[in-house]
Amino acid sequence: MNLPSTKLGAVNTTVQAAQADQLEVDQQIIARVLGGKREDFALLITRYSDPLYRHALGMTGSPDVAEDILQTSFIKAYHHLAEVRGRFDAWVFRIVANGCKDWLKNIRRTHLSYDEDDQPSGYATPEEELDRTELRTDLDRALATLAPSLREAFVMKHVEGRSYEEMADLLGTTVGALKMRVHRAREALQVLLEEKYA
Amino acid sequence: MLNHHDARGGEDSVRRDRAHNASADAPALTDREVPLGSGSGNAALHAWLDGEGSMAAAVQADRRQVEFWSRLNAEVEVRRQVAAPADLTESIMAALPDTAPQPLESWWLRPVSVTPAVALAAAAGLVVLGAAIATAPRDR
Repeated sequence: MNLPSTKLGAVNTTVQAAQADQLEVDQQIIARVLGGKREDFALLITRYSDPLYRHALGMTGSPDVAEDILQTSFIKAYHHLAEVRGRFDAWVFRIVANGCKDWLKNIRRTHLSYDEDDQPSGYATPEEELDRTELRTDLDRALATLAPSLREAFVMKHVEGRSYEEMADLLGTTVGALKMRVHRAREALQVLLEEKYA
Repeated sequence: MLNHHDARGGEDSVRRDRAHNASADAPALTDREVPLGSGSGNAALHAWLDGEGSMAAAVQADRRQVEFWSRLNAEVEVRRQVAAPADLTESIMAALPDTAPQPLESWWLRPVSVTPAVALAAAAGLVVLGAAIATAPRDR
């Protein structure tokens, strides 16, 4: 499991180099869009829509809502593209993450119980509906009961597979605080689900 | 406080008061850092789930929990493969305005647009200011 430190150093250098490349490519695309090549914005959407969609889906539990949040966020990002300083992916992630939190705030205000019935199904066909296993449903329900900050941390760590360092970078907090949130989320999920599944 | 002098219940109430004061001095429960499960089982499990510890150590600490999380991980793994809808890019691009976003400019570089009304108001303001200066009494 543990890599020797020299190998870890090499991995870190590779990751940093990849991030620098990514930053440069993004900045070139942004410059082209600001210069009038509107259609190049599609490149930015394609580059980042998958991880952002997974985040929105994990936070809201609804494919329809996740799609709406992504659409609104990218439109907002387009209008404010000239304000990007630094990493575009981190900037657009914050827009999407805030969109998810706003949605959760509103849904909690309108549906205090937040039952499964309150959530839009979002699955297009009955077959897809059937594919949704019992565990999936129970996990969605359990995730919906978590505080948004715990849910966000759990989704980023486990569903998006991000490292704590990456999460800290994106959320502007410390690795220690995020570990605490993820651990608490796990313990809460364990309490909610273990009776049935453990 | 009067209760402290009560021959029968005085001592008890002093204890109660001390306990009350101690809890009043302590920070609110919500503000405290609640320690995570301190058992070694929990620590080994979290370390494994964080990718920092071995599965063998986690199994040794709590086999049942490892099985539970393995099952949950399989479901989470499915979610990790989810991709955005194929037509998402297209629908976002269709919703964007036809014009390119405007680059940010410092306010002093922005062109100033002056309407006749604004020009008239500015001119009137200057005349009033000039008249005020001209008619001001001079001490010297």
